[in-house]
Amino acid sequence: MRGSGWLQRAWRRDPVPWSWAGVFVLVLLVISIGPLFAQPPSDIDPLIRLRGPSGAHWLGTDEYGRDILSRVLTAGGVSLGLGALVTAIAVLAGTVIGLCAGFFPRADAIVMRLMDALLAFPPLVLAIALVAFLGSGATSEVIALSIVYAPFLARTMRGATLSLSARGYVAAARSSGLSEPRILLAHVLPNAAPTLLVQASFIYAFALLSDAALSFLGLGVSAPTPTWGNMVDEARPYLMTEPGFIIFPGLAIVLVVMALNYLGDGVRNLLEPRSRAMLDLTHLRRRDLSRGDS
Amino acid sequence: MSHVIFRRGRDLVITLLLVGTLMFFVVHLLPGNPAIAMLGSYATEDQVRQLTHALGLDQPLLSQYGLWLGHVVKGNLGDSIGFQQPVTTVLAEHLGPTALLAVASTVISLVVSVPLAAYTAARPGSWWTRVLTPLSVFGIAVPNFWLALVLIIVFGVALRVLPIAGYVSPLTDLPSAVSHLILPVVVLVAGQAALFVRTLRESMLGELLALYPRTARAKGASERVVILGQLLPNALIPLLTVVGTSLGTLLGGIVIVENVFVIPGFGALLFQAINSRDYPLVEGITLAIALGYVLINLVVDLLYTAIDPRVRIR
Repeated sequence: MRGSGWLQRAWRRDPVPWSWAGVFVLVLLVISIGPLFAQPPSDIDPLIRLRGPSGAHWLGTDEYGRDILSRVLTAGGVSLGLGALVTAIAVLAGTVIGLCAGFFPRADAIVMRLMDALLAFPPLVLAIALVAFLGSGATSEVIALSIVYAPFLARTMRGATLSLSARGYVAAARSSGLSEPRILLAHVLPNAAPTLLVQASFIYAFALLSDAALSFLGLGVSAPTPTWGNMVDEARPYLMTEPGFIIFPGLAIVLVVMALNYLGDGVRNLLEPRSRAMLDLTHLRRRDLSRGDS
Repeated sequence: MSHVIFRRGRDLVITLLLVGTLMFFVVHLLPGNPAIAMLGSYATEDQVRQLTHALGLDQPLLSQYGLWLGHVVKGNLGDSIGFQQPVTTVLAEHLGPTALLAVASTVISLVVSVPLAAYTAARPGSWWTRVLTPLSVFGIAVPNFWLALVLIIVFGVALRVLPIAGYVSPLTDLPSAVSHLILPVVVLVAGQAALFVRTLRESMLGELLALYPRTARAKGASERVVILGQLLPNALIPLLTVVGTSLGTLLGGIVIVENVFVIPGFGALLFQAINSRDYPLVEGITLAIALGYVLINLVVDLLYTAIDPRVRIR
C-alpha cells in the first residue's frame, strides 16, 4: 500500500518524466516487436526507390527502394543496443575505478590523474581520435565510447564514495570487523547506486548521440547495417530531391534522447531531497502566481 | 590567489603531459605502419623502409617517446605529412573559423539564455515556460548534424535565403561572412543555449530555496527586484562553470558543424588528417583542442574563485 502511494505522489508531483518513461518503453516495444511485422530491412526494390510515404511503405523508401520504416526499426535495435553496451561497460568500469579511488587514497592520486587526462578531451573529439586509430566499426566504437564515458562515472563514484566513507555506518561496519571489500560492496555501493542510476541514464543519452555522430561521420557501424546515424548520412545526397528521407531517423534519435533526459531528471527529482524541494517550490509558485495573476 | 594559480598551473602541466603521453602511446602502440598507410598498397618494400626510417618509426618506442617529448616541450609538434609543413603552422592557419564559431555561439547562447532562464524561473506557470522547458530538452536531445541538415533543407533549399555551405572570412567580406555563419551558429546555439537555460533555471530555483529572497520580499521588494536584482546575480555563478565545461560538447559540435557546412577549421582539418592518415596532424589537433579546453576551464575556475568568495579551491 505504502509503495503505491509513493508512486502516486511522484506522478502527481510531476507527471512529465513518467509519461516520457512510457514513451521510452513504447519505443523499446515497437523496436523489438515491429521488425516481426515489417518488411525485411534489406529488401531492395529499384522500381520504388525514393518514394514518399504510402500505404505499403508508411515512411517511404530509400535510394535502393528499401522500406524506411523497417530500417528505422532495425537501426533502433542496433543503436539502442550499442548505446546500452557502452553504458553498461562505462558504468561497470567507472564504478570499480571510482570505488577504489575513493576508498584507497594510494590508488586515488594515480588513477584520478589518468581520468583527468581523459576528461581533458572534449568527448566527441576523443571518441573520433580513438576510432581513427582503432579503425572504424562497431567494436572500436564501443571501446572508444566506453573509454570516453567511464571517467565521468568514475569521478561521480569517487565523490560519492568519499562522502559515504565519512558516514557513521561505515565506521560502525569497520569497527565490527568487516573487511574493506565487504564494506565497499555492502555499504558504500548500495548507497551510491541511486546517483549512479541517474548518471547512467544521462550517459546512455550521450552515448546514443555520440554513436549517431560517429556513424554519421562514417566512423561507426558501417553501411549495410543501418543505424540512425548512418541512415541520416545515407540520406544526405538526396537532401534537395527527397528531404523527407532524412527526417525519420533523426526524429527517432530526438525522441529516445529526450525520453532518457526526462527519465534521468525524474529519477533525480525523486531521489535527491534538494531537487525534490526545488520541484515542490515550482509547483507552489505556479499555484500562487496563477492565483495572484487571475 | 597566487598560490592557487601556481597549484592549478602545476596540475595543468601534469594533466597535459599525461594527455600527450596517452595520445603518443595510443598512436604508436596500435597495429599498422603509418608509412604503409601513407604510401598506399602499391609501395615497394624499399620505399616503405625509407619512409619508416625518415619518420623515425624504426627506433625503439621509448627513444621515439623521448624525442617526441623533447620536441613537444619546445612547442614543436612535428611536421604534417599531408601538408609538408610544421603541424603548428597548419593549426594556426585553421584556428580562425573554429575560434570564431566557438566565441560567436557562446556569446549568443548567453545573450539568449539568461533572460529566458530568468523568465521561466520567475513565472513557472506561464505559457512561455510550458513551451520553453520541453524546447530546452529538445535542444539538448537533437543531434546537431541532423538539425544542421534540416536547417539546410528549410533555409537553403526550400526558402533559398541562406547559403548552405562554405566559409568567408569576416575580414574580407563581412555581410557574406555573417550570412555563411548564421546556420552553423544557430545549430551550435540550439544545444548550448538549451544547456545554459537548464543550468541557470535550476540554479535560480535553488537560490529561491535560500532565505534571502523571503527576507527581501518581507521588506517589501517587488518580485522583479527579487528575481533580477538578487537571485539572478547569485545564480549566474554556476553558469560560469557550465560555460567552461560545455565547451567540450561545443567543440564536438563544431567538429560536426564544420564537416556539414564545409568550414575550414579544426574539425574539417581533423577529418582530412584522419582520412589521409596524417598521424602527426591528428595528434597535433587533438592536443591543441585539449589544451584549449583545459586552459579555458582553468580561467573559468580562477574567475569563479575571484567572483565568489564562498568558493575556496581545495
